Amino acid sequence: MIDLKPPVEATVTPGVAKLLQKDYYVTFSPTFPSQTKQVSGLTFQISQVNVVPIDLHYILPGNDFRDVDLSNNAAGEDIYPDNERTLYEVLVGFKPGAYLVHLQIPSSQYVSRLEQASMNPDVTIARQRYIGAKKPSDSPYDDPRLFLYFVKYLDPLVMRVYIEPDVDYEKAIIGLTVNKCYLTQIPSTPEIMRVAKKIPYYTELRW
Amino acid sequence: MPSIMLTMGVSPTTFVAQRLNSKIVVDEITVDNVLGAQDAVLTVQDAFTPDASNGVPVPGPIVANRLGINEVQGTCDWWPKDGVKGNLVILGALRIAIATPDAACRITVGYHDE
Repeated sequence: MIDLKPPVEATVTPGVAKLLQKDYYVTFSPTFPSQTKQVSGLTFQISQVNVVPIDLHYILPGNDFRDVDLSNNAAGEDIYPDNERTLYEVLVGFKPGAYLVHLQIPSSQYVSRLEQASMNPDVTIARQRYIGAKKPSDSPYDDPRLFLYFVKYLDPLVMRVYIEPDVDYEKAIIGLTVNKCYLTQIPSTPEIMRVAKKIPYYTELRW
Repeated sequence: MPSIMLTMGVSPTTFVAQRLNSKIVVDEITVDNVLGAQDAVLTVQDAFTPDASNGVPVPGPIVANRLGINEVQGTCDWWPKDGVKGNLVILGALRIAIATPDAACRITVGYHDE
């Protein structure tokens, strides 16, 4: 559901498409809860795709933050699908700047944290500010490596955008490439499961 | 690299409007005050309204001064000097203010979006 791909150590020829393509298979973990029963534990083939780029931008003061809700909530950025048969594969890339991004899903629960109780991200505490933080260089605007997968009724994913201290203001520019995928349910077979893109639920990522 | 030349008959003068999905990086500024009536005391300004943040839920407009240039009457000069790469970053609109408006003072700004 949230995937930060590392830089490649080797390349393959012919290249592999970065985005999900028509006729690809995707399978959703059975851990998806009943609110997302339209996909939970099911396998689909992608019958249509449409790539829609969109940029988010925020000018914020130094040593301050803003919580950006990507869902379709009233104060959200409306980056979630509205159709039960649509999967949004969202590539996130950051333009350079003095800022960090923490991911939370649902709100206030960080995706990346360590096991010791005090090792939770907290932008207000210098020691914990960089735990699990995504820097612009981690997923550049022109070569995004952060992938998010959204379906209807999924809990809101929040990006906490924090501006580093000692700058008066900074402009965080976050490029989103939304790959709209229309899903057609198919029976799952071992052969399909071997090649299908597996989409875990966020609770499986936060072990 | 786009560039734009304007005269400083009005202060401040907006050279480049705010870009929503990029910053403006100023590469060079040429000040032609050869025909000016007095020394040109210039301030390069960054004008924007911040977005709401945790600390400032309802922000007001900001005008941040980013560079000061004093151009002596009867001279023409440019910034940056001696081939140093310009690295003046503007988050909002790029404006230049002049202490005494003078339509004979001409300014050319070269910039790119980033």
